[in-house]
Amino acid sequence: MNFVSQCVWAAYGGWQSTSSVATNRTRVASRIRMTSTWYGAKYGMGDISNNFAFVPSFYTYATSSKTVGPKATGYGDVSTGSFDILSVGTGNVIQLYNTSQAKWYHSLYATYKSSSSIDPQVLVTAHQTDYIDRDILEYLNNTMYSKVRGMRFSSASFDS
Amino acid sequence: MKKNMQLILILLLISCLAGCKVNKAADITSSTESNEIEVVPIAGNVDKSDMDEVISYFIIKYLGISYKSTDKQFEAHKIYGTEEADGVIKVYAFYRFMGCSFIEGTFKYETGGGAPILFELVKENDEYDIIGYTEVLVGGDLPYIFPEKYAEMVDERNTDLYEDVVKQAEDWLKEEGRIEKYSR
Repeated sequence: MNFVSQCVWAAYGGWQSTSSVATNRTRVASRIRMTSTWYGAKYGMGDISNNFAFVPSFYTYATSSKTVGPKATGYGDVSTGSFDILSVGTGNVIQLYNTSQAKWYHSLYATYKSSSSIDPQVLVTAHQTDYIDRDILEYLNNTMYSKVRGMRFSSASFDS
Repeated sequence: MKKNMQLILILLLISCLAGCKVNKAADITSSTESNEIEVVPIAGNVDKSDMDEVISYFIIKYLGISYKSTDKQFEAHKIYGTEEADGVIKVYAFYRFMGCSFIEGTFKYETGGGAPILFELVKENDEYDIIGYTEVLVGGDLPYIFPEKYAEMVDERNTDLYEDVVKQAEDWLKEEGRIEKYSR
């Protein structure tokens, strides 16, 4: 989950692609584009907030009403078989519910969506297990996951 | 996307000629759960008596479809162990897949992944066929898919496999006489 929060943080302008890695690490350490309850750490280790690190906490936090911090609208929360991938957009976060563990336990970051409505394709990127641009159907067709929900992000304010 | 469709159409054509049913990679998993044995058709010059070669083919041609479409794909895998019961050979392995495309003068890593994976094979007339697979899509699922003795052997990073696919890419560029360099 920490990885997907990093993606969302980067999308909100936390990561500057024109700056050096060292500069961006400083931005992480300075908690730029983070909040007092949603923050990560350099190298993805150390003091990381629950809202940044845990799947259910992140969903609750991002979809809650607040003045600063990532702002998302939840959708889906349906069985994997009835999830409409056309509803997914690039930059959305997708969360999976594990049946045997009875909890929301994994997040994916949508990195590509085809423009075709006839043969739609959504590719996701994830950490542990690590994938770059993998078809979301690999997850939705896996019987280990019974439910899926998405988060669509919108403009948000940050203190720094 | 277009290349993906072309590949699917080619596989469909091959399967029709062979009288077999093609499953998209994702369908094969569910087929094993319902205990139906559906053999994955293998085309080309694959030595089916070589388990590694059959697995390599499957990773590129079937798992590869579930990754972004690219100009050229590479794979590497290692097998932790095998177990046989009721005619089905379970192969506990780790694979790494990498897809590259020629972009702006480089041969760029575009898509890929690496995961522990359980293949299910059958062997007939000294030839292997794959009838199913279960991939560990989420690291926490490993104990539910791998027996403890194999789970303990898994190194999620498997940098040697990554180095292997990169070397394959570099060697392939040389063989093809391309001047582009691999880039991440």
